Amino acid sequence: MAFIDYYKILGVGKNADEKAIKAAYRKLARKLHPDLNPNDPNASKKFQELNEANEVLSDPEKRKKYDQYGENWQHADQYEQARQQQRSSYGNPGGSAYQTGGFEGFGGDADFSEFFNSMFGGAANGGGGRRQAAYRGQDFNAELHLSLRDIAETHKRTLTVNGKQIRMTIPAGVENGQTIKIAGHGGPGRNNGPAGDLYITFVIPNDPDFKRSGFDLYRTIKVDLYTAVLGGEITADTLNGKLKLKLKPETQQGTKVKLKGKGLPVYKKADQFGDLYLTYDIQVPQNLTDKQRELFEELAKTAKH
Amino acid sequence: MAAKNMIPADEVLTHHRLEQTFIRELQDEGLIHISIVNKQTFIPADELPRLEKMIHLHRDLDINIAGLASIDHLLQRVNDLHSELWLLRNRLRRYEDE
Repeated sequence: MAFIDYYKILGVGKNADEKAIKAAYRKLARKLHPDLNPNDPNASKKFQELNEANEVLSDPEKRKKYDQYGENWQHADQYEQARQQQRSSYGNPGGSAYQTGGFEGFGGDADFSEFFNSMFGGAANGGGGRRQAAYRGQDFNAELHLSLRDIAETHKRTLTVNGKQIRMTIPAGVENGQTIKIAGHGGPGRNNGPAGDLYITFVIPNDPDFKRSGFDLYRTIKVDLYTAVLGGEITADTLNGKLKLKLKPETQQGTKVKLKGKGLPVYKKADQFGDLYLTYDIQVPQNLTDKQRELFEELAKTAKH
Repeated sequence: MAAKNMIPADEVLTHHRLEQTFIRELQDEGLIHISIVNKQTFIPADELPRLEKMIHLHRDLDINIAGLASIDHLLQRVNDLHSELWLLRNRLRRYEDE
């Protein structure tokens, strides 16, 4: 547990008055609010820190205690003991949970850092007139790394998110960076409210063999010179296995062929597929034998006439 | 059956300590959809996250209804641009390592 400099979080000096603290909070809240930063996974945490800083520094009593004990937070336990004794003498058990920002991502004691809880006793020391908690639980974000071959067919996978096992279906054809929502698998709700949602973003790195564009795949395959010149049969790898292809005689370097329906399955359209585009890369033979060189020279002579 | 996925607006308003006018104004701006059954206002359960987002922005940042509508519009544009960015990024990957 580390000391948290609430003045630094708010960007104000130790002598800042109530007005300056309020202004700093407002300014930063507009910048850091999680609902305004939907693609920033750290937004909730930053906003939580900001709320925590505001919670302490905008309350004269809490601020006084923070200034007194803040940097010596190790003594907070003794302080807390004294505080609890004082509270019990008033016969007030506290217990009304509160939340500063009302952001749905914050729940229970997790609303505040351990440092805050140590200093101020967390939710038990809420004070009056606090805002109500949100209904829904926290939304969770997770990344799932898949290979191109993983997404060639719809399959099930078990994920462990926050210690909980979730069995989910990975639909074929998902796109790199695509996010899907799994309703109800986020944090638990409050006051019998619904749980938050789990957002899973798929990360699919480039494949060494195939390039992807939408649901189409692109691949370059090597063809030996003799087959390119005379024609013949070659074997091409697709995502689903090998395929025999006939090559026309006199096939040129860079020739592209389209293999219809041999690309990726179209997302959520099980019976539709993209195409596979092959580009032929004709290989000029190396380390010719004397006999081969002779024959090529012979061939070259015929080409000149 | 229909009420199963509907939350009485009064309940939400009480919970968040809001005035009836807030929800009505959000609806007038087209920011949320509400249903009226037997003269009682309900909020569809799937509208709740959106409504709560509006409440948070209104509460936390003192943003009025017109501001919420602008933010909603701009966030939608940010999302669209983000999706487009991903699409273009993925297309570009085809030419990487070549």
